[in-house]
Amino acid sequence: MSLDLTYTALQIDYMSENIKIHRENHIARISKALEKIDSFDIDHHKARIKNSLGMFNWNIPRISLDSFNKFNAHEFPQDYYVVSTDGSHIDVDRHMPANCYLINIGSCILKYGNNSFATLNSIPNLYAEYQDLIISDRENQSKSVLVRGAILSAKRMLEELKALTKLVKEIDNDIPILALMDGSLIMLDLIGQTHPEFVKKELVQHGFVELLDKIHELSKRKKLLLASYISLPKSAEVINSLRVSNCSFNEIHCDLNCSKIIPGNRSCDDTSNQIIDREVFSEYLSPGQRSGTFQIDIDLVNDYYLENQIHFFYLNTGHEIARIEIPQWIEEREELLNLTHSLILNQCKLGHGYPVSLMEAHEQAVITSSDRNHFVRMIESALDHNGVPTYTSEKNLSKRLRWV
Amino acid sequence: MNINKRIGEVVESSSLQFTVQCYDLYKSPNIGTLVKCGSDPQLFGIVYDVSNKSMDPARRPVPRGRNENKEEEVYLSNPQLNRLLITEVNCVLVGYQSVDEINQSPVSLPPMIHSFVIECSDEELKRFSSCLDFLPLLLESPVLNSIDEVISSFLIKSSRVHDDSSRFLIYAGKELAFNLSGQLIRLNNLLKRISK
Repeated sequence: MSLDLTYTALQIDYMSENIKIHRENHIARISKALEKIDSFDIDHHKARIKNSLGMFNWNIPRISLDSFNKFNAHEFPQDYYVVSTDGSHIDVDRHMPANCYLINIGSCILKYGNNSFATLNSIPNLYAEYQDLIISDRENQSKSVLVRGAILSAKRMLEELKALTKLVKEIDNDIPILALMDGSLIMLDLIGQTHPEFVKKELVQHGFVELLDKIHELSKRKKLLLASYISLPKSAEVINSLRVSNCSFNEIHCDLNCSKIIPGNRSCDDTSNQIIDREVFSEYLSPGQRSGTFQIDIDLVNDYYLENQIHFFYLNTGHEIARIEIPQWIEEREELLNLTHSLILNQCKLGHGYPVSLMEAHEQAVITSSDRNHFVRMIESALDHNGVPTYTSEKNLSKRLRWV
Repeated sequence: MNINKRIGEVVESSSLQFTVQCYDLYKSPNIGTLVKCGSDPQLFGIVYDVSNKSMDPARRPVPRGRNENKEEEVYLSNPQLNRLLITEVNCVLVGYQSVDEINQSPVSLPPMIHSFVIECSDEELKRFSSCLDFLPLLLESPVLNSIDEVISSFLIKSSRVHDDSSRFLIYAGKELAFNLSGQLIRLNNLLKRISK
């Protein structure tokens, strides 16, 4: 039997009633958060964080003097490039007759102004060699993990940045180049999971961060900007930072003070419970405006990103609140930061709400379900052609041949 | 001086017709143009439909020029459009050339996918149109809706490359009269079109 939609509809009705009941409280909390932002005292915030001695349990960014300021977009030059990459993959599947995975990297180069042009491309890569299928510890080769799931997603992100670096390196021009990635500049797939340290070292330190270094080096020779675009971000880091000043206890110690209080009843929940940053910034920023910058403060970045600390700002594109992540060397130079803001905003205008370069890179990268089926058939056919017996699991076979 | 022009490649074909994707957006021959493709045998087709569309049928173009003053500026501000939009040309097969002889009869095999498609030169058009045995193929073609418009365009183009265009049109008129003897209204309309 397929999904019982009649039964599900009742549950959906109940859920929507529930959302409606809590909506007024939700809106009230957003208003309070806005008031807190307007009266935000950074010295008080920093002093309370310092006094908490690390006993503040919420993940919050480092806030600077201008974080809660609003910035309008500036004029930008007529001639510039936007380069984007995006990827998709076919994961290792134990039901397939070969142990392999595929990463498809789509890219888009858009040149605006005089002699405008576009280059759209996609490059698929099949990984089937033993050394491609594992990540091993450089210091102890007997330790290794299989590349699949979250680790494959992280590897794909690495390949996206590798392709982006290659493309911007090949552009021999003095005009501005915006290198734009989809999603975060943080390898989020490696956070909060029990991956061995050597995996993080290999993918982040020896992989992603080395590429960030290369882009930084390139930026010294050309007017290069690097940013990533997160559409409809779900993060609540900024809002959680308001909990610091809202805490009613003299000394912040979340576990000691509030472990027995039901979530929603804590003093800090007044402005921050169950609301996310974009809900507040959609009220705070006018269309086209961006916030000031916030510095990401998480272990993975602090431990591995070194010179490439990641900052972010929120941007009201006129269609949505986007989160833009940038490396430190962009954040430190106001001219580059403003240009990043303006060019991304224009990309959103040209893309009817979403950066056009990312949209096209995505279109190049996408692997449809039909492509995935063809991929499996091609593997089976190639093995068969070479006289290698193919197999699949009985489970997979039962899905292909559905019978009563 | 007229030189042969390569316009694109065959992307779909049957023994009746073929579809050409043009190399450049909006750079296509007009309806009624004689084109050739393939080799051994070289096949001849007449353009009967030209379309501009999104390369991906699932991605429909959306308006982009609200803030632009000129239509060209839409393309300058959105350079990716030249990569995402395509011009396609549909051609009906009207004959083939084996060795040095042109046969105006149905082809036995369609052109290969990726065959280069070239607009015929004036000389080739003159040679092909000196005989109009292919007209029944067009007049009875099941693939065309506005076939009479295609035929009249072809005949008018052909008349311009013949030394005596009036004589050619009289010959064409007689051939049409022979093939449309039971369809006087249609014949009359066609004759009016080519005599303008």
